[in-house]
Amino acid sequence: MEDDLEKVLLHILLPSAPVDKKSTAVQYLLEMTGTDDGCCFIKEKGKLLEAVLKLLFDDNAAVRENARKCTLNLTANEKVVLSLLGLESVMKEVTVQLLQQCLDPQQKDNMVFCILNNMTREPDGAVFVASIVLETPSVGLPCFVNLLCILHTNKAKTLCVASMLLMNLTQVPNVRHKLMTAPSYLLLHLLPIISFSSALGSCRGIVGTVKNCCFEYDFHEWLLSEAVDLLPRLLMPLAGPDEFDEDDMERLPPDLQYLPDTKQREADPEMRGILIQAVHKLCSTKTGRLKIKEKNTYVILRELHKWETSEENVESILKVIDILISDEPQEGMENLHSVQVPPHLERSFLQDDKNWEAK
Amino acid sequence: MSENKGPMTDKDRVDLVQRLQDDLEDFVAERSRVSREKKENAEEDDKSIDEIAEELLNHPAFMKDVDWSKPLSEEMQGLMTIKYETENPVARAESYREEGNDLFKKKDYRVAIENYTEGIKSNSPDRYQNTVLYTNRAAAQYHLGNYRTAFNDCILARKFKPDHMKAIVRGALCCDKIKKHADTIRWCEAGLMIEPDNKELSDLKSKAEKAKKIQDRDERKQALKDKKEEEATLKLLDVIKSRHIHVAAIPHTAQTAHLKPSLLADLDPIHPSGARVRLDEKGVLHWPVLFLYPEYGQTDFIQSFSENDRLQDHVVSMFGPGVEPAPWDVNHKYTADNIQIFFEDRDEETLYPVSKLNTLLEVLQHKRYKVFKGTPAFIILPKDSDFQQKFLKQYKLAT
Repeated sequence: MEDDLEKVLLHILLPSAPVDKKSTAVQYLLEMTGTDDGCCFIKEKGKLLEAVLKLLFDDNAAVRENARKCTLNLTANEKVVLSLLGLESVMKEVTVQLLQQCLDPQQKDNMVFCILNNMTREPDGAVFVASIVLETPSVGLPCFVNLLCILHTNKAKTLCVASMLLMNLTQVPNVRHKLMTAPSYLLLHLLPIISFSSALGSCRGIVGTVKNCCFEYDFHEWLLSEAVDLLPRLLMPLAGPDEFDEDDMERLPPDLQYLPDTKQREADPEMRGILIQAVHKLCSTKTGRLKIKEKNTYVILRELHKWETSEENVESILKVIDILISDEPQEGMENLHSVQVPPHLERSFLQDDKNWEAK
Repeated sequence: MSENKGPMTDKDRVDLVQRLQDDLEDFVAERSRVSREKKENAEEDDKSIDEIAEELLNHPAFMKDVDWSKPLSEEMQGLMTIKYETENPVARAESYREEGNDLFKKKDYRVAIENYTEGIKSNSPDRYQNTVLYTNRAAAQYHLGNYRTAFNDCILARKFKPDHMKAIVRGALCCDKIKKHADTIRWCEAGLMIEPDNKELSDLKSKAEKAKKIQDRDERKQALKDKKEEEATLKLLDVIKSRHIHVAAIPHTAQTAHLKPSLLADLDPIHPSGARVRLDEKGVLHWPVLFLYPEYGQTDFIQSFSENDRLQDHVVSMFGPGVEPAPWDVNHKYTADNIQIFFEDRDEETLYPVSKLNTLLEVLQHKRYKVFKGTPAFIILPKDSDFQQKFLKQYKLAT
């Protein structure tokens, strides 16, 4: 029965099939993807998947739309993505086509981004798409960065989903490296978007990208150098109209000194959270930590802590403040991310966390 | 010979020849004599070959350098007319441009500018030529330190050719010198769009961005300072008003709270120390106070008199037992017990006596008391003295 169904569908899912039959078939599949079982059924049938993918760029708009919605639903399911990755050659072709459409600044379809976002959410998918991006100049990282800048200037609605695609890709270390190295230092072009957006939610992916880049410990010195000047950009959305006394004020970076009493903090708690985490990550190396302490980041976080409404963020802030006000760790333990935690301590820390959460 | 005496005889011929030869000799002798005379009289015409060579240097065909400070020789003027007043504006502009460039290389910027200006005035239809003329003039102005003028020339240069890199770079450099950092950044960005690898521009841009941050910070710092000063001033005015103290020239109305700080000028004293009324952390006013001694035409200035101090406190510390009398107090009449304090109501020409036991605040709150020039003043007279009696006669005395 299932095989029959498959045969019938395959027959009318060909791009050459008459439009009305194609359309119905795709619609049928789309409805199937509404349920988990349906998705699993389709996942098993490699040929069905291929057929749907081939219709993503069909001439008929309705067929195209349904094929896209179908793919969107399918890719939302992790297991389906893995199966898709198995269809290497078809996927490669489709991915390139999707990327090319994404990178057109004039196009307004969110769905092509969302499909790719679904695919790149898990590491395997991210690696697959990243390797295509890194090897194909026409859909390379410079194109992405350029696109994001244009979308931001035009205040396009696709900026949000586009930035999330880049963020997903930065799960891959090579992508991170490419963004932070010569000759183009692509990351530098993205930083003004953060500085000049009144609400970071519209470019949440870029904030996420920056945070991911902070995982590259070797780049901390560069990130905190004058050339990039990342710290004030991270702290500005977290700073309020607070007045500090002269000594504290003069130690802050110039951007953050004497902010007017109309200054408002970033309204989206999730965005604040990501920024705090980025600062936290930068504190894990000695170079990062010393620079951050030197710039009197503590006072900004102290005031943020008083104002912060989200409990999760409050905890994150305290973790960073903890690092900032403690003495430097002894030799051998300066890079916090590579410190070996003895098993018995690890157990007791985890227990402490559980107790805290239970409160 | 008008007469014809027949054909010439041999003798006649010989005579004629002789006569002709004599004439010739006389002529030659005459010319020699004249030239010899000339030679004797006109010694200045006698020049050595060196002198002649030197003179030739002033001939335009041989001149290497022009000394513009001396009037030009006629030959020079003639040549220049030919060179510059050609009908062709492009050629004219080109000539001036070349001339300007030569002078620029020799660092003679002022004259280079004059040449470029003439080139510009040629109104050549060649756009590129105009761009170059303006750009070069801008460079010369820059080297003279006229940065704003240079900047204007850069703008004009770009009107003829917006992407002329030399004009853009020069413009950015000018903005940097004038410290207009936002403009510097914009000009650098314009240049970097054309030449993304231009290190001079990217360095200049970084420098300007840093300077701008500092400039913005300083502006914010000043704004905060101004705001605080304004707040303090308004508070001061508010407190004075709430005490119901009459300050001359400030209208005593309910709108005092919205006074512009410039009206605080009514509280500005004229004393050289510049001391003026202030509010301390405990909310107490401290006034500068003048004691006037009309008998001797003297004054005493008390820089900080708390409104809660009694007049007696200050009187005792100034005139009390154990204190040296003032140098002008020749008759030693001005002692703590012997002096009386009054204030003057100018409008009604009345003197009001003041009890020394009053606090300053109490006196200031007297309904007829007015503070002039931010400094409460009091008249001090010795009790029961002749002077006091005479003085009091000038006024009506209030009780």
